[in-house]
Amino acid sequence: MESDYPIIIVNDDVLNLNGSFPEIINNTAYAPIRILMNALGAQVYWNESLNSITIVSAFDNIVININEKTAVTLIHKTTFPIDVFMYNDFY
Amino acid sequence: MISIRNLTRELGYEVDYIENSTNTPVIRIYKQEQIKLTNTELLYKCHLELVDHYNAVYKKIIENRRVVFLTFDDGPSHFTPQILDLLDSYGFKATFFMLSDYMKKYPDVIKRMVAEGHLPAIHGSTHFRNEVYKNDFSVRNSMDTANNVLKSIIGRTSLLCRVPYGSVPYMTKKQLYDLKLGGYKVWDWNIDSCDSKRSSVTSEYIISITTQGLGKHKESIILFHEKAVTLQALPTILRYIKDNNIVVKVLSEYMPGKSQIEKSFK
Repeated sequence: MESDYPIIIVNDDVLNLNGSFPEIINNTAYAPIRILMNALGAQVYWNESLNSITIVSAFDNIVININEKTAVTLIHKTTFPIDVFMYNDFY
Repeated sequence: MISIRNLTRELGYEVDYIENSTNTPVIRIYKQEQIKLTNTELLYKCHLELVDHYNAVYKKIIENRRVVFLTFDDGPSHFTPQILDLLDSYGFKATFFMLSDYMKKYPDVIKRMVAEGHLPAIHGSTHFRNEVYKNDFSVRNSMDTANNVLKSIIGRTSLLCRVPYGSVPYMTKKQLYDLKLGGYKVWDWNIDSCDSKRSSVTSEYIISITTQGLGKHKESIILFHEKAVTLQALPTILRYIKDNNIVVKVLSEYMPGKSQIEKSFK
């Protein structure tokens, strides 16, 4: 059965997604990256020429390579695969 | 869009799916030291926002697609497992309005129903008209009694109820008011499958009346009962729903309820 659009809660509050809808695809939940990261206190920068996204937070900084669908954390030095796709012209 | 779990973990957050009374997934991203509320308190606190969210989602779904709610009254019964098998073969979920005595008789069926993502709901402690509609408080009492039975089986209650025979003609405004004070959402139907109207009803008739109704309404709530003839009709009806790309949903405590007595059907 297709699932509804999920509700995302950050700590004790419902995340206001400004009218966009997170989705669940193959049991994985996806959300708009900028809104989600801002709610977690992180900043998001998109490097158009490298086609990468950099997430800056107090905990760690993460660089996402959109073409390769991989992410690298700069402090904890981990690399992991990450699903990222365009939705209505936004990540 | 980005997958939530991977990314938030790397930022030191935990991710939980919170079980709730709908088929809307509620995902909580948190740091243990930053939260004050338990999952249950959170659902309670966020109730109004969840209602808004649910309705926004629902509006988006119904913009382009037809929606159907499959509801089964008077169970559980020895037919319920076969109904669950059929629903499972299509991946559809249904809402079951159940009576106390049968819940006591088939507790394992209810556990299976819940485990498979169907929604248990309340039909009352008795179906006898003179008992249910005896006085201003008897309807709510009947629902509360049945809820105690449900709670003893699955550990939680349901605020979704359907009153015996539907809200019209026997229920009074006072009884409705009392139900609402108890937090109950009252659900009638807009398609009667007629599987309980006459003992001589055929599955062909049930199929025809139900699919006609589905063709007519943008949002259908079908009334079924747990009967042999219903089981005969169900495969064709479920096939029709699938072929016509109709979205199957379970009722939700985040919806206001729809009943004839409140004139909430068009």
